[in-house]
Amino acid sequence: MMSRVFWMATGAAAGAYATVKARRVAYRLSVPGVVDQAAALGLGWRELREEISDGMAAHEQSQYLKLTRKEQQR
Amino acid sequence: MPLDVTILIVTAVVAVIAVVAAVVAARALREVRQLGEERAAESVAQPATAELEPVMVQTVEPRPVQVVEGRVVATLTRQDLLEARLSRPMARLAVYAHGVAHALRPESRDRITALVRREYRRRRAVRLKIARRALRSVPDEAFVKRADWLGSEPPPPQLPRAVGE
Repeated sequence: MMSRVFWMATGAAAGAYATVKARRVAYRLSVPGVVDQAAALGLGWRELREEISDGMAAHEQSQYLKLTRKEQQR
Repeated sequence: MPLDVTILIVTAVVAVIAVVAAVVAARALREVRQLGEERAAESVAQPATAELEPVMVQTVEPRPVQVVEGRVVATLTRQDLLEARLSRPMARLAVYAHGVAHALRPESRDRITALVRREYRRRRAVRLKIARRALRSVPDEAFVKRADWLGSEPPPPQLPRAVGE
């Protein structure tokens, strides 16, 4: 009896999990899902570009200061 | 090369060009919109009666020029030398590489990844919410008519309700 209940609960949980996962995959593969993914990736790309430009500006500034100090030491 | 392969390649090239043009146009449109929004925000922030701020005009002093053996030689300032050193291709490449390394640090990488995931989930939640609301706004009769169309038995005028509903 306990074994049957256990397997029943296990099957129900696995079914619920698989249903949720399958629904998410189906949404990802649908047109609205693809649009959402593209929009999110665009946002990520913009953030990455901002990070790159921040890093470039910081490095440029540090190089500039380093060269200025070298020039002053001469 | 067979004709169909040639046509396929030409079509692919045209498609790539079209995609690039669309991306460039979308970016230009976004920039124009941002400019418009910024101008609108500035016009709102600054009332028309505000006094005009004095404009700082930086005058450029003429550089010392030497004449050596009949040739004019412009003396470079320290600033010019520094800028020339930093604008070398290898220096620019190093700066760009540092920028990329800065962007790919674990903390910023994780932040961007989380941002993308959160944005996707937010958009999905909004879409599902709208869909659920639209479904709720459809009257029950629409479903009944649809069942009619499928060829089922004509429904009774009053659908039976569950106990306690």
